Amino acid sequence: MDPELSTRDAYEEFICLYSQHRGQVFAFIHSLLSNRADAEDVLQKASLIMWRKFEQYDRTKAFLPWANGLARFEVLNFLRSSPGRKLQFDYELVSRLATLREAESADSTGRLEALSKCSESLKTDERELLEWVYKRDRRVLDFAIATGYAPQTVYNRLAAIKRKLERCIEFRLVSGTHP
Amino acid sequence: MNQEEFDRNELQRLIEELWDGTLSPANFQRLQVLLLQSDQACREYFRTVDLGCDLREYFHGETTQFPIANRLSSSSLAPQSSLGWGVLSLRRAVRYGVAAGVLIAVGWSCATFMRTGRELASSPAEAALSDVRWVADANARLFDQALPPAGNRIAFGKDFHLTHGLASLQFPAGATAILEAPSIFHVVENDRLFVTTGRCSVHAPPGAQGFRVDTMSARIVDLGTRFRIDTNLSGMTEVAVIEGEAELKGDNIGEATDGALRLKAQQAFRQTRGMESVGVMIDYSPDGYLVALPDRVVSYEAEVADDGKADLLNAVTVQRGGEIIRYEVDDLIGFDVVHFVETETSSVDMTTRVVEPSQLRDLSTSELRRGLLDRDRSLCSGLVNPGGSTTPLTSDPLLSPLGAVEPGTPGIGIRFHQPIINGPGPDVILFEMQSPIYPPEGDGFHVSPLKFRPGLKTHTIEVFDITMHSPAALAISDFYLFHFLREDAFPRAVEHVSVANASIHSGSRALAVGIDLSDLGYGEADAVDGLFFQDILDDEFQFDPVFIGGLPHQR
Repeated sequence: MDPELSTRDAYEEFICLYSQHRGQVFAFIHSLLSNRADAEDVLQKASLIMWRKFEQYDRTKAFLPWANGLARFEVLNFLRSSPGRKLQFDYELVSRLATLREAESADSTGRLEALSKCSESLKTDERELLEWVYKRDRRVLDFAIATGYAPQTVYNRLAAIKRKLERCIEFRLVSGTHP
Repeated sequence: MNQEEFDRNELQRLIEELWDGTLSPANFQRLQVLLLQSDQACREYFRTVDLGCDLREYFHGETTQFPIANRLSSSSLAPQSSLGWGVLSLRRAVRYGVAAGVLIAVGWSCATFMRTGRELASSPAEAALSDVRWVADANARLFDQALPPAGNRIAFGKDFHLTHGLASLQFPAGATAILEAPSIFHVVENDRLFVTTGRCSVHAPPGAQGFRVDTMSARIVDLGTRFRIDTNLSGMTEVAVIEGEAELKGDNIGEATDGALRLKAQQAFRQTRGMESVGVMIDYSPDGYLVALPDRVVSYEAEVADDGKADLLNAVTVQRGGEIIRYEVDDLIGFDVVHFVETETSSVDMTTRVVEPSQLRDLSTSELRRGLLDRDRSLCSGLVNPGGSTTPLTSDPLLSPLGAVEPGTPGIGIRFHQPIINGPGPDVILFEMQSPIYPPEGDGFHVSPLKFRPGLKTHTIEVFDITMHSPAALAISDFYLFHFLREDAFPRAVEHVSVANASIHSGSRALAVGIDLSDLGYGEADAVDGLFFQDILDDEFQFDPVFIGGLPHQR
């Protein structure tokens, strides 16, 4: 077989698998690294490692556990190279979270469609707060300052909105009412 | 700790503060203890992380590539050609009725199939800055990232998913490329652009010959020319040469000429990519080729206040007739507010810079109130929330003399200190202050002649030139917002109300838009002595003018 063609086929297969699971791999990394920018950096490095090691991937097994295993390794590398970062979990907790997370079911089918439906039921002010944080990438604290509310009130409010969404998503997934 | 012994509300609040970067050291330790001692707390934490990631995907793309990728997965793991993926993605996406942004998101995975392994290895972690610059944009928005500031260099291999508007890139040898949304593109080399999907207008002046644009099905090498490319995810590429010549390469192109085809001016070619690539000459049309970005307000400069944010406008840069011109604020033509009337649906509000309390007494006279808009250059002061109408004016607004009992037409009327001469592009600029939680494109408004005559009409502006998405929109200093009592029946004129309360606000930005008098029906070189502005009343947010200026005549 033409080596160039073979590389290209492997690349296409990798991109297919990676793009399919990218969100879940990122969530895995972000659960170990609280800083989102750090998590994005590690995902980028991990994606490169995944491609370089892709020929070692066993096609008879699921892609996500393999990818998460490499990502976990990169997270630990990151922690070793960046000691003393503010609000970074201890090594022991990171290992514990990674182990628990790897043991969890990773099926995310239908979650985003369910979220899309559930978000339709949000009130205007609830949506504004979510957009502030997740669309504009702004801090909750700045929303509190801009609107004059106490920060704790807004943190609690955001947590309550998310619980409402989570309940709605779970209901839709369990009841099969997601599209 | 017992698995059930944690407060879910407390845990979620701690997580929110953690992500905000505001969690105290003590509470951070508290969070770590919770997670170390309770598996259930860990699972709750994972759910919160997942929902956070899902929300970001949802809000940045309205939906995401992953659900669609999931649908694709059942039929796609067998090796397929890049084309197969592109066609399948597009077809599925259309079937599910998703928007252009989603097509772009899906296209990312398909498009990257076309890159070589070398290109993958050099991105994303090892991306280096190219010498290609993001020079300008117009009403542009990118999927999942902020717009680069004008003039910034672009990283090699970094995909840009342009979901709205236009972006202009400048290559070091002089070539320019204007990309139109929806499009996906990245810089491969300092003289090579890869367009995955979308329309691209290229101008390569003398010295920039050899500049190359690649698509999924073709490579177009410039030979000193202007050309337009349209390409899509299914691998179709159309090239139309406006001036000069271009060389087109691709599978099965020009077999008799060593795989290359020379296109001359006013020739066009379509390359499609199915089981076999097929190319045909097609009818030429210059339509769609962009010589430049549209005339608009490009940027502005302002003095900063003590809080480091913009306050006094210093200068504004405008593209008029394709020419970029910078105006000092003192060069702009001033005006008087001759009319200000709210509607019954709005309150009477005005804003000022944060000043000493003693200075607030000056607001007791109507002249000084109007002066917030027509006598200062602060981007923090203005007569905000004016009246409006859902229906554009088709006849003269009824202006109420200052102090009159009858209020007249809701809106703001202004009369320039000297007539504005209608020239190319924008003739008047308008700034409004906007909170980040209000419409990012700015608040829509009508602008009408003070005196109608046959041929004149109202022009409606719904999207500003500099929006909240633009890095050119500066954060403005804190300001007072004054509310006024309604003492009698409304609508009411601003002169008749008294201050009820004031509050300090922060976090807003100044948006800007240019008004072309030709859009109101004025002819070239017509003299215009005044304008009338109304909110379009399309939502609960009304437009908040803080600065208006006429541009000197541009011959």
